[in-house]
Amino acid sequence: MKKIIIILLICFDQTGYAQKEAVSIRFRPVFDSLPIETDKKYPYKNDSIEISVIRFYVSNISFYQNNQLVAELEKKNHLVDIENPASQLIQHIGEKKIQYNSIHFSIGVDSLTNVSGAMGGDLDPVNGMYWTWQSGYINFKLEGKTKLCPARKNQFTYHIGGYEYPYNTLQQVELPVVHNNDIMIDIDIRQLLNQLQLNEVYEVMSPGEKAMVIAKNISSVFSLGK
Amino acid sequence: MKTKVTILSLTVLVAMLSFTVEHYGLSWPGYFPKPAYDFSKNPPDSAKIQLGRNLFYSPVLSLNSTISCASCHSPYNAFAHTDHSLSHGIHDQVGNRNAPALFNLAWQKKFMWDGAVNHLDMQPLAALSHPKEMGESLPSVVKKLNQSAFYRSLFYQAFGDSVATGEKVLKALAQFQLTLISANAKYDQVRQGKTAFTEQEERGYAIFSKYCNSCHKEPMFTDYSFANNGLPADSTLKDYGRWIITQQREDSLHFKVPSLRNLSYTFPYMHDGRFKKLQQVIDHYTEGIQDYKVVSKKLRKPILLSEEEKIDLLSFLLTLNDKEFIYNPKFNYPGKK
Repeated sequence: MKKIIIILLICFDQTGYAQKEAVSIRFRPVFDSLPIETDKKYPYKNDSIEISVIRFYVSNISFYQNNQLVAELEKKNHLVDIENPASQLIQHIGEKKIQYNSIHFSIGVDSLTNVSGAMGGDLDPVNGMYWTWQSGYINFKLEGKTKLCPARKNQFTYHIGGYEYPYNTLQQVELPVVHNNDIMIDIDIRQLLNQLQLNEVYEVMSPGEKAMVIAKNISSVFSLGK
Repeated sequence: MKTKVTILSLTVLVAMLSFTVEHYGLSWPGYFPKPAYDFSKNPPDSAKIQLGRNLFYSPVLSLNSTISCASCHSPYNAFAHTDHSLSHGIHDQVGNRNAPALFNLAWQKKFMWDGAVNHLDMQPLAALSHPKEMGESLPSVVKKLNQSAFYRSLFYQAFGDSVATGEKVLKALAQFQLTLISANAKYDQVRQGKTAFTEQEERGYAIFSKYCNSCHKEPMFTDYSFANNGLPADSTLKDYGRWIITQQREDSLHFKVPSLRNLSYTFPYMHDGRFKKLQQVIDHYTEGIQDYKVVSKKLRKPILLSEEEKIDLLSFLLTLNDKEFIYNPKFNYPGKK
């Protein structure tokens, strides 16, 4: 009898759940491989640093097998906020099983969405990721403080966005992955800070050349977590 | 027989001229171009328009509840701000620019004098958040609206859900503004064959067509471009217009070409309101341009007009005033409930 139940359970598993694809993608801002906690002091360049804000858009997440698109997430734009752990976990539920060996996504909001008027949910301007004096989404926000930064109260503010040529800051990221139900993507903030020249460029809050450079820096610190 | 054919073809012609476009309950003359606004993404609906109208006239949008949109966009001035060259906001702070008139906004692609805003839905964010205008923030406005029984009821009627969100606030405001269609000036009645220009207006129309129509293009009386019209930069404001937005040097001192419709109601003129009278505006284009090398291409040939021709031009321009639009009760203060 027990055997029959086990066999039935296996059959059920095969026909029901096993047909569907469920992948969790976690975006995890890290400092020295540890998840960042806001307003906590981290040792940095013989001094210390605190991070108060990390918020960004991840868009158009899709799965590829040998450069062929096999699946994409229905929801296009996700606002990831370090203060809201639920926002860091993005679920993909597909109708059928897929084989994939890379994941593609963009950091930011594409230009078409930027010119399409008021939107709701993660794209609602109420989320504070939309500029008011000039139209456009802020793709990535990083704020914090360190004595290495000569600004008022030693605060650095990077609000990176811009959707119009020649300052379109949307970045594409492609990461090779092994098929896994739980994909971890790390954002190495120490590595990003090393590239930012905190002592010289510490307030970037509009589209332009500086934002373009920083957008590229940001995309370079996304990697597959361990 | 011939007369019959003539009468018939004349009737057809008049019918064609007075053809009206109906779109989501809004209407405009058949000779208007296709609107830039995508109505399918925010289909106008009377409850949403009423919510937007209430928000437009409500000081709840400003930090200290003293300023509404209508404070600087008054219906009696075709929704512009009269008497002040530069508009003022909360705590009597004076801003950098002259609040523009609001009408026929469905045809406009870029907003603000420098085109900083790319969509009608998003335009209120600029005034709402500017420290010298309303000094507020969208999250705080949404919070205040969610605490108001009056607004919760309006949101429920409009969206079937009483909870206010940023998206709903912006879409409702856009809907009210989309209804502000001005298309019944004497110019329109002439185009629709209902009346005729006087001889003086005819002469003015000919001058307009020769010198002004390239930028202030019929029938909207703007081509929605940005131009340097030869005004020297104000040394106190240091406002370089579209250059600030595009960061392209060739856009220096470029400002939005405004529509000339309703121009009698919208004084003072120019982005900084430096001219109080229409006569001064005409004088600027005929005698005021100092450096023809920097102005936009279409203005590089001097415009030479006699004093009589200037008066003729002015008499045509006055046919662009739409009194019905100014006094339309649907656009007025909705009254407190």
